[in-house]
Amino acid sequence: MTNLIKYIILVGFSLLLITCNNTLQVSEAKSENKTVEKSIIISPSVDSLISPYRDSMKAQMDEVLNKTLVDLEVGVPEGLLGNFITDLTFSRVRNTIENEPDFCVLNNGGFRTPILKGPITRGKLFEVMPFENELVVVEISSDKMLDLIEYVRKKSLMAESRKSGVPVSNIRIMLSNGEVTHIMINNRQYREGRSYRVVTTDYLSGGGDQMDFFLDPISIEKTGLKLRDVIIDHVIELKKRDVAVNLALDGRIHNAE
Amino acid sequence: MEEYTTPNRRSFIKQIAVGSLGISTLSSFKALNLKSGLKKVTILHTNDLHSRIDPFPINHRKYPGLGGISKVATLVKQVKQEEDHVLVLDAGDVFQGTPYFNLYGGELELKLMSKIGYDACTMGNHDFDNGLDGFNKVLPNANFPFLCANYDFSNTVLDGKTTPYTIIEKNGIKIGILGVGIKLKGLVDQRQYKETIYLDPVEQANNYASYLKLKENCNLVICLSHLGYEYSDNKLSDKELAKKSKNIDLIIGGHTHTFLDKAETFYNKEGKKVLVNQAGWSALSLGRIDFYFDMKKSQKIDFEANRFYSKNYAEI
Repeated sequence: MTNLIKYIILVGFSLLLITCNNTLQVSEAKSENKTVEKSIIISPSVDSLISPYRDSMKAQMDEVLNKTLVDLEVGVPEGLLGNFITDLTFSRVRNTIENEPDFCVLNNGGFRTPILKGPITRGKLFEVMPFENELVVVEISSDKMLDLIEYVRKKSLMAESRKSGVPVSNIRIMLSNGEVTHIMINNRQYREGRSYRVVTTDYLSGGGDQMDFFLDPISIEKTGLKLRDVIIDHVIELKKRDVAVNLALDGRIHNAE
Repeated sequence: MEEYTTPNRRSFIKQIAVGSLGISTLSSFKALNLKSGLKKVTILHTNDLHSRIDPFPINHRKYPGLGGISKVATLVKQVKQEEDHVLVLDAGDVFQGTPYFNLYGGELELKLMSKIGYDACTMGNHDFDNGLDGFNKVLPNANFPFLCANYDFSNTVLDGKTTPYTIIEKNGIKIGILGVGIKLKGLVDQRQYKETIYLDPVEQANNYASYLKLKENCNLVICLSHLGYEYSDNKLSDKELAKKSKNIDLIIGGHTHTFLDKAETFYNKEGKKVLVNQAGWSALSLGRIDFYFDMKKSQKIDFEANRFYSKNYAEI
């Protein structure tokens, strides 16, 4: 009898152990990622979930916010689109933060499409600025400032392309035969040996577009403002005052040959 | 291990040695049953959907007519028709990238993912773009959990709204899934993440993975990660996590928008295989891994079982 109990206990224990011993484990794995091709058909039930949102979005994107009397395009060494956006950006940031910034630097590559003469829709401004870039104020050292000026100088002398020219505001750089002769910042003479507070985007402050002079700054201040929102707000604000977008080049970067 | 080699344990082992002989027929019977076909589970995954509800416009320079959550829905449905046991996962950055997010705050993205049948998702840095309040507001549109093992939301509105891990059973396979996110400081404005406490992702991933594998006896442990596939500097990436991990079988990544043809294989600190996959961004790619399971002897589980029993035995 005791032998039988012992046997039962023994079998019981062994059973438990077998259960723990043998477990479902991966014996093989196959992997293949699939491209989401153009040819894939969207199901009607999925589309009907999206369409109310899409329709309402389209209505909002088609809303005309204002009009421009001139073609706003990127240019080298300056362009109307760059001047327009850097100016409104600089003034908005100056009015938002406590410590006054000195000037503004953005990049032509960030403006994805021109704004041609005529109505300006909200959707157009989303096309110009599809990115969610936020505005920051970067304080850079005097050495980095020299690098920044050299960057602008080089880009200002390149043939016109998406990679050339640097849109700036509140700074004037005069070149003569490709060499820097005179710089004004905030209506004052540029002084070597001091740091400057530059308004730019979080993207560029991270060294985007090879703007390495923004890396390891003295300080960086977030503004909480998104570049696109700032552009939209400004265009709406002008409309409220019944002012259309209208500007001309002002020679803020100029190369005398 | 030494602490368990008591005289009691030795006699216990002896008993097992005798007992298992008699049982061997049972285990071969089980194996026979499985021969009709290995158990299979299919994992589908996306990352960095970035509010790409509709495909890219037909005149888009790089991706004309490609991508879109709406098309992923079709693909997932097709796979679910072909396969019985499918899991759909996402590795974060569902939000931001099209006006759908700017206008509706992510509501439609989560509604669509729920309709598609996503089983779990983790949070990416852009999922903080409307702040914790913005995320919290649209969260009820998701019928799947957000897995965040290394964001401590205790002092925020998201307290209790996310979970470190989840366990899903498919085809008798127990699958443990956990999620880890990227360091927020410097990447996300503090006003957005507020009092969120960032915990070490490797530590948290390993903690939860060992819990899932050893205590919950999960047959597969998946880590959803928004750390990024690889970096040129020493920033923590999925590749690094894989090497430093334990008890994780698959890392589904995001953040770096990396397109891989298939999951890559790495080896963890115990020399075991860890798969790492990522599927680009904007729903341009759907990641897929098919796992086949077999009844196998596991040395680790064996040890755990022994330890468990010998410990109890000794205590008695």
